[in-house]
Amino acid sequence: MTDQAAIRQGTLDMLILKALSLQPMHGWGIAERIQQLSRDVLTVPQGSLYPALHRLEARGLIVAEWRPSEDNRRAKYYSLQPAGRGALKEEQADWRRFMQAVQLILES
Amino acid sequence: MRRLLAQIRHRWRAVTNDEAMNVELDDELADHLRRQTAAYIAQGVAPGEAARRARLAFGSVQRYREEARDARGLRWLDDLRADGRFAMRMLRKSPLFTGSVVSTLALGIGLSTAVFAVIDATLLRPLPGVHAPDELVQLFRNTDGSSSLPHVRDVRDGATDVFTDVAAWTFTQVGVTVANRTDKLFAVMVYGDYFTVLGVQPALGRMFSREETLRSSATPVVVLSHGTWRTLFGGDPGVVGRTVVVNGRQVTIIGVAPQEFTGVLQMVRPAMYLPIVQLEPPAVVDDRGRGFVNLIARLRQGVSLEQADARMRVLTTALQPVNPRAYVALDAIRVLPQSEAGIPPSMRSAQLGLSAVVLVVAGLLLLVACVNVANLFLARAGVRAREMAIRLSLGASRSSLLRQLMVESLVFAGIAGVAGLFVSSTAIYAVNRIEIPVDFEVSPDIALSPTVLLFALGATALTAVLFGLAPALQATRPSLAPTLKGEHPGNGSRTRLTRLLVIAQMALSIMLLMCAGLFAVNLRSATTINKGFVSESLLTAEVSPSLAGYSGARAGDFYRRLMDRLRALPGVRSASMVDELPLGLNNSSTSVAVPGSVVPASDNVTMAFAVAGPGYFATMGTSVLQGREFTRLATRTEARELIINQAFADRFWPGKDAVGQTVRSGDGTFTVIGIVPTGKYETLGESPRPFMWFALSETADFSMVLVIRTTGDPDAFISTLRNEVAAIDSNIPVSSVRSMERHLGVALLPARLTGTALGVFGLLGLLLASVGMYGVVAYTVSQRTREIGIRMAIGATGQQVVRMIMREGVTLVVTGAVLGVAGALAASRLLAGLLYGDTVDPIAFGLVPFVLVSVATAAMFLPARRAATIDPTLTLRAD
Repeated sequence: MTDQAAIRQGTLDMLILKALSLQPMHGWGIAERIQQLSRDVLTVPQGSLYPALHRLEARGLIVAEWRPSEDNRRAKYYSLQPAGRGALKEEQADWRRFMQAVQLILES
Repeated sequence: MRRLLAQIRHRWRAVTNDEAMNVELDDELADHLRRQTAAYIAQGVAPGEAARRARLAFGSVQRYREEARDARGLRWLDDLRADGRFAMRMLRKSPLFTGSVVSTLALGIGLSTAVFAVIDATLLRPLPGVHAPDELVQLFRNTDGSSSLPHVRDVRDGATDVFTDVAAWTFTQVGVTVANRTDKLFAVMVYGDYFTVLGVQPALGRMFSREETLRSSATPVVVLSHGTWRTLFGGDPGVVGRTVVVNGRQVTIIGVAPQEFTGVLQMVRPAMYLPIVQLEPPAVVDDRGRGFVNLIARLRQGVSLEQADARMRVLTTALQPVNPRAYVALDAIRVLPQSEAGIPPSMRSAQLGLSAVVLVVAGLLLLVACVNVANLFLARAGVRAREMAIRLSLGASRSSLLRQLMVESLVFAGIAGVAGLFVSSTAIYAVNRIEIPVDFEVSPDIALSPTVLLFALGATALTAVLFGLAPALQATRPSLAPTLKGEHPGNGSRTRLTRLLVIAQMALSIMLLMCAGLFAVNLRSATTINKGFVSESLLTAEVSPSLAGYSGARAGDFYRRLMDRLRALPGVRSASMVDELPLGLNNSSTSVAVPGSVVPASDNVTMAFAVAGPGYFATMGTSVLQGREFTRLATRTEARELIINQAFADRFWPGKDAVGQTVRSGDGTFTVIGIVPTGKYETLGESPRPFMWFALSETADFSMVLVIRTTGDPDAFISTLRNEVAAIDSNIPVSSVRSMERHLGVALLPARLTGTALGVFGLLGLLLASVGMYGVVAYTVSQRTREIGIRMAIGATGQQVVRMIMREGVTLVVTGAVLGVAGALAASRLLAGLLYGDTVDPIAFGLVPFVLVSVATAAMFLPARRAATIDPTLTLRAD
């Protein structure tokens, strides 16, 4: 799996928020969506996923609710809160600034 | 805002609904695994293999669960809960240990809480029932503290810029007649807008108008206290407008004060409030020289204490030229906040000092308890050292072990704190029941108020840290390799300290208990001591004709008629009166000069005296050694007669006949007509002292104490006595009616209180000393397990081991006991003033050390016996 990269600490929260900004999803779905959107480059370490979700919930950025899923079973769906949307915007801006800076250094 | 709410909701759920969240997490993880499995199957993996791979990819579910809980911020709660459960298990495992720790701490916490409750009730609580008590100030003249009414007017008129108003008050005694019975009650006399200054609203009716308090009027008025309204008027809602007889005058009740209001001193509950101008003649109201009132004022909004103080200084300077006689000696008027001035400044510092001393004693006791328990924990830490070492070596962090041990301490302290509340409420109940033998109602209202409970909580937490931290640090020291190997690190300094503590405890307990024993023995001998009179079948009561408006010859006539009636009654052997009973709280003295006295130093000495009626000594059962006693109410010439005691005669006329000698006192010369044996006058423990009695004159109009010798039980005579007084005039108050035996209880009160307190502290000391002994010996044994094992392996018997261990302990105990006896001997000398007769009592001095040494030895025996049961093969194999 050399074409896959582990997600750096700290970025996972932002990616989860981004995934949830499209629609409410359950945990497994979030992991899948992130992998999909990154064209299979990024895999979510499943062990970090749930602690991250609970952390975001504790911070009031997302809320969780049990509801029937597409295969008619109960699943815990997470959805983005307005506060989460704001946090995502900030983190995206931070990330872009960081990337540009790194790029400047690498291209110098 | 919404986000904050969401966070709080989440947290709340995490804490309160922990189990449900765990289940939810499990469901969620299961759902994830199922989906992952399904995904693998969709990729063409066989179902069994898919499930295996999904689980593999996921890793340890248990770990995620913990991490998820970490994310919810709950890890510490889990740990605490586990530690708490463990602590409870330890608690149940060794009930003896738990019992000794909890009882030691409970007594320490409980007693210091009780002491604090007394301080809270007497010093810390704001004045009840008044508006904004922090705006109230008291004004003291720097000379004697009390002020005259003209002075009140000066201050009020001269300081309107800093005070909204100034009022004055003072205590007085009044005779109140209700339903043909007159009682002497304690009242507050007020001047100026007293109730307005304090901001007190009436519970019923109205308070005084300004006019009523400043100028005397034809229609006297009174405001009742809530208590008086309940007891004397049955809480009658129509009481306003009724009249009551005060000092023989009809007075109209205009209102009732609220229940919690006690006036300016919160411990004293006056029965009623009366305007000063109603009771005192205008001569007193306008007399600048008559300082008898206390000032209370309310600061204007925004005026500070310092500003008021500065204003008073300016005012004093301005008043000095106007009224030189009243103000020349006065350099300032002191402004004190009411909270600090509940007690006059001179007494306050004494009370603060006393409270501090008692609190320090109680605090030291708690500290000793903590040290003791710390010793116990240390002893146990020795036993548990291996457990700790193993856990440390297995990778447990030191902080987690520390936390676990501290939780244990907290659990112990918590239980002890609850038990301590029982101890303190019992102590408070006992203190509240102490009858203070004074003429007014004193109710300190000591209670477990919120402040006191907070103190108890703080004491408990502090205790836990005090006794828990050192042993915990010691037990989890990182250098535990030697312990693992079964060796004990050298900590001789700690052992030495422990031993010193045990000796000190032993000595202190012996001192306390021996002093308590002395008091107990002395209390018994006090009843047999020669007081100079016979207290059995003697009834005493105070009558105050002056409070019914009697004066001069009219009062004398009343006394003569009363005596005639009382003596004529069946069951009365004799009756007389005196102004102050011996061994009471009040004592009078006056300066005397004895012409031609052989006592040269100064001709002018102060001598204690009483004023006695005819037949006083016969009634008291005091024989007259020489001469005669007073035969009737003294006429102008007979008023020059004096009776002295033997000590008086011995001092001024040793070896001569004292009868017929003269003594000068005040502006008169008195002739000695009789000599009586020396008795006890102020305290039972006093050494023989001179005393003299003046004859009660025909025109004496002050209160007198009746003494009536009855043939039977004096208490049975009380109602007859009241009836006889009422038959002459029902307006004359009769108070303090009690047998001489009960009166003497007052004299014994200090000894009784001190004895009880010392006894309690001494017993507590005994308990602490035994627990301390147990702890130290147990610790020593645990430290020497290996050594003892070797000794036994090479042939020492269990008996020899017990003897060896006991020898060390007994050395400590005996050292402590010897020091304690020496200390008690020294202390008994200091206590001599409170003791009667011998200060070295064989029973107290023999029994107490014996009991203490026995108890402490018994406390050592348990661990010593355990040492004897050590299995040498086991200890040696442990290496």
